[in-house]
Amino acid sequence: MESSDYISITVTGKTPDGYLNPKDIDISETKEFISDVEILLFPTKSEKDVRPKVSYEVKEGSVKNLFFIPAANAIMFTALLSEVGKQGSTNLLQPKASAILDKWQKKAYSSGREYSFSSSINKDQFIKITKETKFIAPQSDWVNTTLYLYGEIFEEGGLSKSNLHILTDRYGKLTVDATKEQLTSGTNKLYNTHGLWVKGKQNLQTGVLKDITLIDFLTHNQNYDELVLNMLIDKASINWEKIKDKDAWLDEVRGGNND
Amino acid sequence: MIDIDIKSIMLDTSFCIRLMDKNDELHQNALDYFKYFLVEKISVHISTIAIAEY
Repeated sequence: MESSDYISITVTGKTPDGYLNPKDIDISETKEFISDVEILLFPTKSEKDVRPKVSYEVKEGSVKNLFFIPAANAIMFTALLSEVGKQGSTNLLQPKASAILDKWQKKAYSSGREYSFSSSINKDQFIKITKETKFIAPQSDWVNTTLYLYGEIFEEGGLSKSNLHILTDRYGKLTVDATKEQLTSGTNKLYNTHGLWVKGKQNLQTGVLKDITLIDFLTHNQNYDELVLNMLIDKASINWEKIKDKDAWLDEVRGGNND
Repeated sequence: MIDIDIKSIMLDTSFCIRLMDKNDELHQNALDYFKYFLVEKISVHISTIAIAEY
């Protein structure tokens, strides 16, 4: 049975011939738009897998897109997008849904198109994307990083995917992808403390690491060698002797601003 | 030395200078701190700016 409840997304804008109408829209753009709306309505895989039938109708004025969905979905979508409209931010939405509004917002900035949402539940426009709004998706919390890890390697190998497992003081147990050549080169590393130079992704909020890949093993001597340190100090002291006022020297290195 | 519960520290340029110059009046102080960090397994960090300055 056809649902009588609907979500309406009206796209307005100008074309060289006047105002946008359905005949100005190419089928590829319509296809992309419908796909975007499906993501907006059902942003997660689990929602998409069990989603109800959604039918579509396009009307003039400028381009009025109607998506017929069950009442429960229309109510939830209207409530959620109303709150997003009130807040003027996509923070409440799932990342994929947020990305769709972000995409339309960018289109609004570049082409002046406007997207107005209403529904059978609330026939008043409850959210509108224009070049004045800021529905920008939050930036990813995961950033690319390279860093050094120190700890005991307690497992290494793998048949289809080779990696090593390291126990670090700072991050706990970590799995680091490594090539078979890296794992088999040099001395046996299992149950020894090693330094690793790795790249991966790190969460800005929590500091958690993921997708870690080994760049190289580090030469890491965990024992403090007093003799070596004293030799280095003796060597450096000869040069430091030539500088009478080290604070003034550092001040100069810093461009005369050492406040 | 004060017993401080820290896991990592960042060295600035002045510390490195004092540590590496045995004739500096603060050398022994810096050296004692450095040994303390090692014994207590406190991670020692140094910024690229400090490396460039040194």
